[in-house]
Amino acid sequence: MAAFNVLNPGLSTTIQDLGRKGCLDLGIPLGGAADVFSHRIANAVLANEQSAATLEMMLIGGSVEALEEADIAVAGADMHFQINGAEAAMGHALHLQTGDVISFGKARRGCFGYLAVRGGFAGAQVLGSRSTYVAGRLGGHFGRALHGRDRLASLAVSSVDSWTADDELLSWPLQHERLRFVRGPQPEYFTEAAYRTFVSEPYTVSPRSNRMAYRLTGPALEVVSTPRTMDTGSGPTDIIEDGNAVGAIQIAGGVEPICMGRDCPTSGAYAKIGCIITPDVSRMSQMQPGDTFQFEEVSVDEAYDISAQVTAAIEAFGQTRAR
Amino acid sequence: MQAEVRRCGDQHVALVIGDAVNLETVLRVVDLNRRLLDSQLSRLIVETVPTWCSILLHFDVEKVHPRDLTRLLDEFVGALVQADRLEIPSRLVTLPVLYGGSAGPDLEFVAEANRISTEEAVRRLAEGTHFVGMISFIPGQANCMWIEPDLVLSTPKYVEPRTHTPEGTVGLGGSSIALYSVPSPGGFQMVGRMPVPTYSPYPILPPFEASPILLRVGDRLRLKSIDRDEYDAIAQSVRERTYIYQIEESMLTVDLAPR
Repeated sequence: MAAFNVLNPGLSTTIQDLGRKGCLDLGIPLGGAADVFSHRIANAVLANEQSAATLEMMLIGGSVEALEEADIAVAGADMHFQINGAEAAMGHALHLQTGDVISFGKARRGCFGYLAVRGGFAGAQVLGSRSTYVAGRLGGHFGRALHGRDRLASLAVSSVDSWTADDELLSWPLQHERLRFVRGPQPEYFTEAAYRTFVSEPYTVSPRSNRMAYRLTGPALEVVSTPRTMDTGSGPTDIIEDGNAVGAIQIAGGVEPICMGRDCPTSGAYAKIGCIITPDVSRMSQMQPGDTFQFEEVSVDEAYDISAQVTAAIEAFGQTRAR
Repeated sequence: MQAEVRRCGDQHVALVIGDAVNLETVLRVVDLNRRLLDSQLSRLIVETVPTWCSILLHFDVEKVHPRDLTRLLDEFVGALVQADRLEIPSRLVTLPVLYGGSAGPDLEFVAEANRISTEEAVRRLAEGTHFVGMISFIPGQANCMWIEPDLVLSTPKYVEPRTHTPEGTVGLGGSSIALYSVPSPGGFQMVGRMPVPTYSPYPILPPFEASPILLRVGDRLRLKSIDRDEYDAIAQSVRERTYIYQIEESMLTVDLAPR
């Protein structure tokens, strides 16, 4: 077991795991690591369970002091990871002595960094998950982002194995030049010309993005004129409120794409042109404000195959890498 | 029965059964959702989100290919016979509301939109029985439809949504009511405010010991009118953790029009 003292909390650092399932019909979002791929890699390096909680840092990381010996691993955004002021390697299992200080700075590349500890971070388990859901004040460390002088602990250790993640695995979620999506569930609001525009023009991530949603700026899309009622609202892409999946791309006011993140509202009232495929949600989350990318349409069969391949790659790493 | 299966990425589909917000449609949604979760298909389902006219369904990709799921859902829904009478467990929950004034600044707008006095608007809100058709958007936000057609009020939503709505606000948009459970943005007209929580991550009162969410899909609500003094007294009893929610277990039986 390990313990840490938070010296500097960073911009927004929270305890996250794979998220909570079965609560969407209570209005509570899936939650969990924004880049679940990197969360899983950081855990796999330490042979932790995939569901072990990690510390997720957004854009600007913080620093913590080890109060006991500990094994840690880092993945995700490149945030100037250092131990006692010396650059340290991501994707490696690293042993800390009591008094060692781990620190992170502003992200050079990517948005969310993950710090895993052997055994996983402790934290309140609410509705089946330790994930912090700040808007609902639940899970993790008192349902909030970390403050200076918070004390963190890890859970009992089940394994002493460790593996090393190579650059290919570490950088996979940071490659976000193209995000793949499946058309629907409201394609009837958009013309074929709108879909052509959508996949051929670049989009830029707005600073008004967070764990709930990624807002984009880009070209206006041609909208099919649809009768407006009191139930739908007056905007051209307003719809009767329906369920929101993580990755869904709402088009607000017919012009502004809003991509749903892990903490997204469980329902929404804008037409959705498509849904980003599951593995590419990790890539979406790693974009910084100002980053540009293009959408690429895939069929649901292709999306299924890509998802299966990515899951298999993570699992293969966790199971077969030699020490 | 009929439902359209729509794609939502590689792990979700939407089952759409209507295109208007009304009690009849949402009752059909609640019924279909329950039948789906009671069926053989439930082992393929991670969770569902019932909303006004559709059900978002998260399926387990390790157990079923999306192509096969669409076929299975089509077959399942096609073989269902819509019951002409629904009997569902439905608690009757009475919640106190201070209507109008600073607690409900849009009450006058709503009264004007319905060409009635503010007193009549409050009567229709307070005497109505409100069916909770979905819990959505933010944690524990109950969205309701009037059960009595002659009491229904209708109003346009805000054109530009507010950035802040106080928790406890009772909102009206279209002809549905939303109970804002946590501070949040919002677009419904604000007609009143409750002094009691419908969401709490900590067990501050007995209903929150089992779950942070007070209300459930299928509940019926009474939004009893209270005055400012009563509001303050109830708010005080919530702070002192002595408030007792008025919740009755019962069943709801409704006849549905044949389709």
